[in-house]
Amino acid sequence: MITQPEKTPDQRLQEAYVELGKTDLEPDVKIAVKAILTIRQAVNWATVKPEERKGKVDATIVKYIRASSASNLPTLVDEVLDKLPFDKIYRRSLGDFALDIYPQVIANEEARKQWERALTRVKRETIPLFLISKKFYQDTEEVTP
Amino acid sequence: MTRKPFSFDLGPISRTLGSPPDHIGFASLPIHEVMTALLGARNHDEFIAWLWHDTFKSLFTWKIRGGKPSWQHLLADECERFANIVGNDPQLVMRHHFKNKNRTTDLIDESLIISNEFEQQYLGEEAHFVQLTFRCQPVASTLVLRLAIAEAFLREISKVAAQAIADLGLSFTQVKYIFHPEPRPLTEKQIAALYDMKVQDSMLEITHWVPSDQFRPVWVQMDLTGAPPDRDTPQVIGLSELLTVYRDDLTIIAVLPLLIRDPDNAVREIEHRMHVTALEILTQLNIAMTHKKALMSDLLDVILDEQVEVRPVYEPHVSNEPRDPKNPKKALGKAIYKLIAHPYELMADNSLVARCLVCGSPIKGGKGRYFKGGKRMIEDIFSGHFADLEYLALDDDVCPMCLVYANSDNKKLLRGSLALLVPSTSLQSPVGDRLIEQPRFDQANRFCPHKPMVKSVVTLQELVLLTLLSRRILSGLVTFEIGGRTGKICDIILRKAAQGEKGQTQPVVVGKYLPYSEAYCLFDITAVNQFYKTAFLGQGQNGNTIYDVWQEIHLTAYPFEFTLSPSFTMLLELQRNADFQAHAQAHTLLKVNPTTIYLSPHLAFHVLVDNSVQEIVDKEYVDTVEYLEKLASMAGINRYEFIKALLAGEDQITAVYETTEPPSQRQNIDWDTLKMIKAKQISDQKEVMGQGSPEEMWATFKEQYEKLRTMCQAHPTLIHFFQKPKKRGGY
Repeated sequence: MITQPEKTPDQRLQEAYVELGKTDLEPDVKIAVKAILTIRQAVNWATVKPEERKGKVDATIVKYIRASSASNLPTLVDEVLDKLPFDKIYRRSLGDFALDIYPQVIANEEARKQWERALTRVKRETIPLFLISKKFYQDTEEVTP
Repeated sequence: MTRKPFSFDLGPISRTLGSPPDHIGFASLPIHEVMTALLGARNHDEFIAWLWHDTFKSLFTWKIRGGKPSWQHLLADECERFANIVGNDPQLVMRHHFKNKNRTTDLIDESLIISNEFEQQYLGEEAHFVQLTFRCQPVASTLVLRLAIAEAFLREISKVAAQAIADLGLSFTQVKYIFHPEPRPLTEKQIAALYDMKVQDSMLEITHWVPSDQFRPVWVQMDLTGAPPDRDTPQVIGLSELLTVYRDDLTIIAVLPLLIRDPDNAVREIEHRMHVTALEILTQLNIAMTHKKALMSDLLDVILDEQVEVRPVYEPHVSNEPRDPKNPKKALGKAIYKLIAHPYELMADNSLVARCLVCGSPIKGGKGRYFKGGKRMIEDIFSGHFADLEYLALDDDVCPMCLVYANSDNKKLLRGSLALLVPSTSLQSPVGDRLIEQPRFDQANRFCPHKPMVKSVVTLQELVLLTLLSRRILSGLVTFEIGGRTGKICDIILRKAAQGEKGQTQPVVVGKYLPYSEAYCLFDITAVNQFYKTAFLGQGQNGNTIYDVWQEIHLTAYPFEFTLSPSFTMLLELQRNADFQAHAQAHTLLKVNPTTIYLSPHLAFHVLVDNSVQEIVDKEYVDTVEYLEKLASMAGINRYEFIKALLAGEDQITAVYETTEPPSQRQNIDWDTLKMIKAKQISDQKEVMGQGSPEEMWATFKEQYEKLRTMCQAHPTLIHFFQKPKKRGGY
């Protein structure tokens, strides 16, 4: 029997980012999805009970995103990760991937607007974006490194 | 839900008008035959002759005569054969188009009874009519009362006309016109020989054969007994339908058959009998004709004497009668516009110096003629809780009709959830027509596909037809059971779930049906809601196909097919989220007027939602409700709050997330998780996000959300049409 080599969260996230990059979604939608993926990849799925995988973790993340009053995406991601139970989250550097949720060039007006629109989307269209994000990063495929 | 189309066929056309210009008259041959009998027959023989005088028109033989197209329909041999069957002098029919006719022995000239009302301007000069007129404003608060009086009028005119027909001693009381297609290549004479007429079992039956392979067989039956029309047999036309030439909120013009020798006496008799009949009808409607502060004990007599007029309309040669410009000696008849304006002429009477405080109608006398009010006049009229002062004028008296309205005993019928539906003559332009085919014997090219007729016109016969269609439209829209067929007013019955007995229903009286005028009065909240859902939202019971109002109707009148937009009059109050305690005192009917509903996809009308909101409803509105209701059909959400969230600008998925009901104890799930599950469920619908690649899903979501937002922005007050849940999970 051949065992499928398990992937690390970083690998899964990288793959998700690549898939997302290939799509024709608008740039601000891509940034918004990346913000949600960044939160979800921090979950330590090994500590999540099978019954909780059915939706409890997702529901909790959605609840905290909607409750956040952060004025930018990195702060929002940070606030949500702070509120999630300590034992279910990897508290580690988010790595290069998280750079995408920062405005790339602060002086670039278009990039700044995209980033602001992405923040608005994450707050207002949390659940639709969450459902789209799961197309790139399913919890059932995630494993603990 | 599949829509049922309104489609009517009352036989082929009877007339074309003008030459040139060429106009279509769309009233059918059977209607023409009977109308001429009612309008122009003076005795037994003439009545029968009129019933078949144009029989052979359905051969559609057109020839050029004197340079003009002429409808050749007086085949000597066949006319003689028919006359022998019914004992007529054949010359009566043979000579009916002769120019030099004998006024006493020949049939009266058609142009004097029916043909000079071209372009809906004049009623036949020699024909007799009777007009019912209300001397009051057409306000909602007196509508039920006016309906009852109109019913009494139609019942009595039907009885008087039926009696006059019965006095002729005819051997039949019904006339049935049957039309068959004759596709074989027979000659005109061969087909005419197939035509048949016979009297059997009180029925005069005339069978026609139309030379065509595209003609669809049809029959129409005329009931001359004076019984009310039967709403379940639309091909049978009642006498009251044939007599009603014109109807609106304030007047009815009806035919008074020429058979009646003393029309003045007949009108007096109708007027006299109406006192008794109207009282009987009002009693059955549970309307008390009193008011505690009225100066007269019986308000009905005062209403009929002072606010209602029944008058004969038959003076043929009034000096100021309009004249034919081509022939100044010839009077054009009774101008319809004058008759329609008659209620306003009556109201303009200088002797009516006072105004009704409630409806503004001009009334006699002045302070204290009908009503004895103290210092607290408004309290005396209504009650101490009356608050709708902004709808009242500053006058000193109240008309008798409004006193009836103000009687607190009449509260249930005259205020609150109700639907009042009345047939109407109005027709919305434009009228569409299509030539089915050029008839086989049309040698004059009267119906040439390359020379279409200019337009359709509405004359007296079309007015009768339109009111008749309006009645049938209402029969289609009102799907309740009607109890009793006695000729008196009937109960409208709805089967409601029986209390304490699962699966059992019991009949409940939810309104009254007035059979002669075919008007419906629904005053039960469940019935009104059901009617509204059926006729306007297109939601039938048990998934049946249903009629709705968002369609034009199709009328087949060979050789044409017409698209028409007829109408009915409606007053609709839903009482959706009304404060019931306040609603009982809120005089909602002071705030609205009845609306004319034209059947059309472009229809727009007012609905009084409850005691505080009135909304215009159109097709777009209905589509929005339908869309929202479909989205809200998911179990486990608070539908009212869900729709409120959508109207507030939320997307469909977020709205479900926010309005998911808490889980029950049996569900063993936390609320947040349940919300996500519900959100996922609705996202799977193709009207929300659907399935597919992330791009496809996101594109669908954006498109559907934009559609929803546009719809909701156009109807921000739509939430008033949804009932607030009384308990958790209700709707």
